Amino acid sequence: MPDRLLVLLWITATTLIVFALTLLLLLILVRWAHALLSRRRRALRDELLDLLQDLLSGTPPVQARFDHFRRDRLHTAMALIDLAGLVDGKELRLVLDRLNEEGFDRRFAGLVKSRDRRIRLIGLDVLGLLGGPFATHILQRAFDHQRHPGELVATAQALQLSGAYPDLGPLVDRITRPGSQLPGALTPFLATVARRRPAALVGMLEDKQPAPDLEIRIIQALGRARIEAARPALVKRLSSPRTQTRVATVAAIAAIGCPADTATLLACCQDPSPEVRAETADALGRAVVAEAPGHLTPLLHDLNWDVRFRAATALLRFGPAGIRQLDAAAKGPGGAPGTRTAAMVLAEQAV
Amino acid sequence: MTIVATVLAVAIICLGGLQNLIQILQLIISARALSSDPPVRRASLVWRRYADLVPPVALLSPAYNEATTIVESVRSLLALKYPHFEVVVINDGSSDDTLGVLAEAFDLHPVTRAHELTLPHADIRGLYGAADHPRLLVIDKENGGKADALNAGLNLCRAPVVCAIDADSLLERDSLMRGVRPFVEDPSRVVAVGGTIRVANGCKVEHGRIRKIGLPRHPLALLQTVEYLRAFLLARLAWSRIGALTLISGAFGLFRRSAVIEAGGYSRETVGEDMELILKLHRAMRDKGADYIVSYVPEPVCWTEVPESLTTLARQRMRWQRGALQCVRQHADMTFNPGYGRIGTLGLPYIWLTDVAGPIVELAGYILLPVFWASGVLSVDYFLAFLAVSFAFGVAVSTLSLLLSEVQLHRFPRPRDLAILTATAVLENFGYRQLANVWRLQGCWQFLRGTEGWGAMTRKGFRS
Repeated sequence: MPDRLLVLLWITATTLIVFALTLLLLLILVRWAHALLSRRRRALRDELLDLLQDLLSGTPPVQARFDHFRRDRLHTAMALIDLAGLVDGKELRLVLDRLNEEGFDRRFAGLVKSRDRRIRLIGLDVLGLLGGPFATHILQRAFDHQRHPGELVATAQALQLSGAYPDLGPLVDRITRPGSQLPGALTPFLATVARRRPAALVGMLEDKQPAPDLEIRIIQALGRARIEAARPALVKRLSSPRTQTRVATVAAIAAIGCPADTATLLACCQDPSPEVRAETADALGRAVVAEAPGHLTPLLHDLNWDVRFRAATALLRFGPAGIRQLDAAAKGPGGAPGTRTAAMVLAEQAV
Repeated sequence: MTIVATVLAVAIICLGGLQNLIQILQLIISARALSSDPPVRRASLVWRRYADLVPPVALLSPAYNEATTIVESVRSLLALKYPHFEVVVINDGSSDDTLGVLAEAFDLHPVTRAHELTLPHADIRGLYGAADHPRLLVIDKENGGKADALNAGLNLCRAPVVCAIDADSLLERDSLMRGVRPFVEDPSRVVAVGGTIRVANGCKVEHGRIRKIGLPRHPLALLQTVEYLRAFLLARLAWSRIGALTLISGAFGLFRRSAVIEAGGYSRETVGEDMELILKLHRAMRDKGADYIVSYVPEPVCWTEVPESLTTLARQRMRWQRGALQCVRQHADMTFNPGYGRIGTLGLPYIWLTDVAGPIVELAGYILLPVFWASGVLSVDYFLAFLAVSFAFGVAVSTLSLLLSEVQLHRFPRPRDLAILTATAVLENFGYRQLANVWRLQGCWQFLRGTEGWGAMTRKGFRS
């Protein structure tokens, strides 16, 4: 028995070393191959740029170029994604349309079926860029069968990029699972939806009761995109029991602009959460709401520095009237937080 | 006597085995994490998706006697690719001409900025801005240490997210954009994000940017390159995935400012202020029952110069050890406390195992096992076999983390570099690992004696 243990120990040690070193040796070889491939990808990107130049100048493109692209679809796809970050949309469209004419949508479709997740994501991205009926069909099919929440959002993003719009309802149902976190890619996706199809998001806020996390992300997306139609739905959320929801809502309202009836927003100056009070001060300052100075002045004496500072900077936006209020506050009892804050903000403004 | 020796030998072997097992588990978790959420290699893609969504960031760069590197470092920060950021350099009462070289290079002029002394710090002597660089703010203050300087920066900056970096480090151009991603993706939960620190010795730097990635020529720096690779890709990634990350390097970390202020900012009483802040954040969030995330993202890279002399390296390692011990002592009540979730049940016990018991057990093993062998308790065959397994685990973990790093992140462009790193990963187990443990034990001793302070760090500056 002891001898067996001894043998086992030696076998373990040897196996570990041999295993690690073999893998590394393999890696060095793969690295060599990768160096060659990245050179190839750069060459393909240059060829794509040449193709663009041909298309812009009206010169018929060299057919051999398309053969190069066909031979290496993965690196062509990667080069195409790189190109999307280098040239503007209209010029990129010229190249994409031409590639579609040459049937590249069909060639790239295979990438979506790869076993390697990274290749699948590249496939989704490039099909989204290409657009067109076939790419959209493939993406829609991938969307319908996708199970992984992160990839589902990536597919939705690609579909959107291609000009088709996935139905938000089923998407949301499939990614909001109890106990699991929302995929990170959802935030940029919702931002794009808010810009292109805001009604879908406003509808979700009005008609459905999204999970709290999702609700916050929708509110933030609508705020960033400054969707005025979202205002009524947002105002309703000002009375949410969740602090984070109220903070996001006030910030969104600040970005969009205040509603005609400011009473609900002004009431947020008395919110128990300092974060909400600070955001409200910002919102009132940005919208230059006429009744705001009267509500902002008490916030100058708030216990929280952030609230005081943001109330003071909001007052500055009201011009001479606001500065007068700050002046008066700065002449208050020495050492009081409100006095100090007003004095400091005025001094900074003067410099 | 024989029974005591046997128990000791078994204990040493079991603890060593447990450490190795944990490292293998970390490796598996990291590999799974990287394959389920692969890093986005193309910066253009990150920029396209996130540029409109990212929050403003304040880069806090405390500087103490950094006259040789500060201008290059600030230039590199100002050249970062990010939509909204400000660079706050805090001159922590340098005795060299750090402020002077900054004033000359950026044509600084006095400014004023409304702020509250929410976090304690030493007196501020002056604030300076630069007409040509509206994003730059220089705070000149009395010396108070790194934590004190960071607290001053936290009080004065206004962005909702702060990025604490070392003044002698260089960020890659898209590091901020990549690092801020978790804050965009989960805005209500993420409170802190750590990035990867890589060794800049051997890299070619031009105008504050890494132009060519290369390996250090100095063997000590080369050994640290492998060590950093392992520490970041293995330990940090794995712990962040299981929600038990206890350390975000002080050289590069992003934090939600309000959360840091709420937690009480950086502690001025410890030399491990980076670890202490993370533990404090965990404590504050858990105490108020908040749902939060402390995350690690492998892609954003910060390059730093590592010591090339044994004395400086020893001093650094002893300080790290003291810092870790100060932190675990300060937060001892969290250890094995289920109320603090995985931090209490996994993160902190792991620090006890690796930072407290680890060096003692390993060195005890090197000393006692030969003694046991000499006294006949352990046969020579077993002694050699255990030694071989211990080294094999070390080599396997180092090389596998190198492999993981290369497969996922492709950081070293030349295959030759990989060969050198592989050899280093093997060689570090014969001498360097033992030396590092001696320094850690010395750090423990310093901690017990109550040694304070950072000790001098000599820097050569980046190779241009």
